[in-house]
Amino acid sequence: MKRRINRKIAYLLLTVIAILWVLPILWMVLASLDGNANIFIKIPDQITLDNFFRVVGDTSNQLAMLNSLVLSFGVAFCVMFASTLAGYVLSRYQSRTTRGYLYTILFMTTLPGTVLIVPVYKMFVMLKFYDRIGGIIIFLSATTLPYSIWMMKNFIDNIPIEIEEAAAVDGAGYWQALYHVVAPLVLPGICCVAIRAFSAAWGDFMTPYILLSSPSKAMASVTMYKYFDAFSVSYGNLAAFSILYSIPSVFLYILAQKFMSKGFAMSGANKG
Amino acid sequence: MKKVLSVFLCLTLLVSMVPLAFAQEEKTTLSIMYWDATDEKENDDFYWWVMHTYENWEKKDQVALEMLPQTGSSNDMFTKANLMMQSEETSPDIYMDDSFQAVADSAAGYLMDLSDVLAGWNSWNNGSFYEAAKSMVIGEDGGVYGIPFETDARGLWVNTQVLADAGLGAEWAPKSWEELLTGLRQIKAQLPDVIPIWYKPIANSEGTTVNNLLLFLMGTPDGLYDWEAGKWNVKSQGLLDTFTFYETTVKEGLTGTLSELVSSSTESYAYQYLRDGKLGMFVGGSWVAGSQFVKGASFEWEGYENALKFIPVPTQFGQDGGYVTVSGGYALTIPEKSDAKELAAEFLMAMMDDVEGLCHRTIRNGSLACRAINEAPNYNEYTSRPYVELATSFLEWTKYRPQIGAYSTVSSCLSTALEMVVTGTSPKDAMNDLARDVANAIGEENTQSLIE
Amino acid sequence: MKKQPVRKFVFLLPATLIIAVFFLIPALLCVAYSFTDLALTGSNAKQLTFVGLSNYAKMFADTKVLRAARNTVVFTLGSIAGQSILGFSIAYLLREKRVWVRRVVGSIVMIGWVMPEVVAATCMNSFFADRGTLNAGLNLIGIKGISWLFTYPMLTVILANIWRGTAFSMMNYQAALDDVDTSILESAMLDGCGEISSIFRIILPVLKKTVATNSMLITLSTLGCFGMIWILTGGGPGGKTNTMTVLMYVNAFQNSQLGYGVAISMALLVIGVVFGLLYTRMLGEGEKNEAQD
Repeated sequence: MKRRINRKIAYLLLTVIAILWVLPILWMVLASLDGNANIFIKIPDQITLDNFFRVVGDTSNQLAMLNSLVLSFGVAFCVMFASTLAGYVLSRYQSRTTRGYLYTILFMTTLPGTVLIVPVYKMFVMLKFYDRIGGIIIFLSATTLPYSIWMMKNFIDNIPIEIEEAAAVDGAGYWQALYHVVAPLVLPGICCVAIRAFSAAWGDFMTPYILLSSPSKAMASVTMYKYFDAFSVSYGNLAAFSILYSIPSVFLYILAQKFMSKGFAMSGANKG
Repeated sequence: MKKVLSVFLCLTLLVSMVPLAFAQEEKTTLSIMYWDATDEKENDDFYWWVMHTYENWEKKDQVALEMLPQTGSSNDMFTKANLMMQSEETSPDIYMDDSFQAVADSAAGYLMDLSDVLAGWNSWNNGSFYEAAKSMVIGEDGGVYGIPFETDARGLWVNTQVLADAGLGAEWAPKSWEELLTGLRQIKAQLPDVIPIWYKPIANSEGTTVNNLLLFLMGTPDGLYDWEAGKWNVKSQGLLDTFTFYETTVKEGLTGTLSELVSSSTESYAYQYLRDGKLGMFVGGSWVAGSQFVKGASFEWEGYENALKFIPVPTQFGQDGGYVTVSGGYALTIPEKSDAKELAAEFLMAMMDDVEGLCHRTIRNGSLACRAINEAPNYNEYTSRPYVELATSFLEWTKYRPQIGAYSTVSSCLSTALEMVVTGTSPKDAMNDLARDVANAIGEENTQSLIE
Repeated sequence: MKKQPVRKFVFLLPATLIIAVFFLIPALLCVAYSFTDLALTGSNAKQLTFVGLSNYAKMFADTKVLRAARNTVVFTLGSIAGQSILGFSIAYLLREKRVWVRRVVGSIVMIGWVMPEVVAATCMNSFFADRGTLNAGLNLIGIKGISWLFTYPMLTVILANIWRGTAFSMMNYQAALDDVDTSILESAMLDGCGEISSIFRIILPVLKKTVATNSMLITLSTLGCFGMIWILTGGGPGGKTNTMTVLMYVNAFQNSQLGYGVAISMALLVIGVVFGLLYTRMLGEGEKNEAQD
């Protein structure tokens, strides 16, 4: 009985939270349907999809979205791979050294990216990485990795070591233990890390802006700024673009939810 | 048979590549980096201009163009351009620079001194260019670091209906700050629901300084920079009077609610109120009407041409010709590290002599041309735009921002001080803070005080 | 299973290599730059001059720095508290709920996080504006609106940052809660323990490490938060939301004193380390307790 009441309260709270979170987006939705949108919230005089047609019809936007997908999946993959490997080692062999390693890389992330980009630019020109999407994938992976490694280590910490030891008895090597035993259990964590890396790369403006010059390689985060002209912001187009721009990450999250609940079931079974 | 075919294919491929290889060797690429915030290529007026010149250029067959349009906030854009110009491998050959930034960029050694090139160019020397505009891109060392192509003017955008309703008459034009304040007070007295004046008082914003503060500061007998002493006037009666003017507008309720006035969308409020007849006037640039009120813009306003007037800001006591305006603008520059400087210079001059292209760009961009373009076939379209002739006539009183590398730092401090004044700091304290901040940033030896 | 140092090294290699070359080297260069008059434009850009500690001396003389440091700490603490509490609450409430509820609510919260920063800030701007969505809503239920961005600028930017950042905590706690054994909770509740108290007595102690880690990650990303504040208030009004990152940006990129800007970001790094050590202590004690158990 009490449980049922609690459940009702939970749904009520969730509804309130959802409303609070949606309200700020209301402006974006209304503006995207308005031919003369501006910064103030208003009901469009006439609802139109022109903003969307305009944004989608622009070939440079299509290309930019594609570029951003390549970049973000590239970063997500790199980070997922490298951080799972590193997180595993750092979780299973904790020592003063590994902890020092973790904190060092983690503290470096307080350095604002805008400052970091200056020396990175010089490095990229020297290494001939300038104007290459591959180069940016590596750089963004580098800045996302410290967080991700830290997160992965903690997720793996929660997996009891006994499970692996059982596998080791069965003759499985490290790689196998990680790949077959730990990775599936820590899948929700991997998803979390991957989504974060994807979104970080997807939303990053400064790095691709400074490190790429060819218009054909422009990222969506950069082309979006054409709706953000200093003299006249085209808010309607901007809002439509933003909605389309938010879709991939939200979609990934929904997709990952599936793995997350699966991960829940599996670890529950193992522990129970 | 298959073998023969493949050999044949290979051969044709090889043969077809020969002219390609030659062509690539012969053609020099000129890369052109410019500011562009248009969403589609056909709206990119700068691109249109470049292509228009290029199609008619005698060296078209020897040169290929690489267009590098840039978006982003001005600070980010400058950062990117500066980094690119630091290295031979990434430097563009032509760069559209903001005139005030070009001076700093020339001090950094990024830009080529065009003096020698321009000396032999007819259009530069036969009076086609406005002399004032020419001075816009002169570096600290006296070199000419770019060709200015568009400029603007700043003044008061006035809602004539409000003026008429307040009993000032639609032809009202103040001749001193005192007259301006009197007018504002009358609006407040007659129309309690109308905000008399709006301006941008946001800290750390070049727009605050150039579109607003300088219009008043430059109208005082004390300037911002002392050219003889080579020092910034960080304390002066003029500065104090300017700050006091703003303080008065706030204290007497002659301007908007503080929360809206100092919000990041302050200009949006002004445009909306101006259109809705709830605001008397707004201190802003000549491009405002053409970018905000035209059909399809964010604050579309039917009949704005008749309801809105653009009048110059008076000098403090009506001295020095009575009015003052501040101009900015863009210049075409050639980076020092470009590997095709001569060719770039030739193309630049061809662009500036392509008056049709320049006129097209100026019309679309809502700016004023820096050189005579009356020979352009589309010249009528240029002059028939509302406010263009008017704004051009303002240029006789124009002041440019001091062509000194440290300007951007001083400007940032000025805008911060103005925000402090508007939010309640006394003009004197704000000025002292300003003097300290500027001295701290650019060295005390570069500043001076004109009062005790 | 205990000793095979070579393999351990191999697993760390990809991450370490990438971080060392593309993060550590530029970071060290930044440290070096903070001792120079580095500028991107103006006469200082012509050649790099070593100026010793003068950037740091300037920083201590600059009254804005101290104020910015204080603002940064307030902004960070507020964001951590809000994001952690809300993130955990949402994750907890979403547990064992219908799939569509999880998806809908989760996605809605996610939107703020995955949106590009400029857009999120623009949304927040129209939300908190004097006649924005929030005040309009408050008026509907009979409460008079206030000038959020002007009267309570710091609170407002914190709320905006919470709106944007909570999704990250939510995901972290969702993943962590997935690993918590529900049977403990159920038996506790059968024993007459209320739900709230069982959260504090059972779940949170289990998640202690997640809490610390999550707080640490939020801290580090909040310290570097720039776009949201810059767009919402630009550090104003009257410097009330001027944080270290805003100060750094203004000096480095607007006033073209990059060397000084970099020095300011070094101070930011120090704040980060101080926060980090606090969490380390928290984690370290947690580990000790675990060992004793």
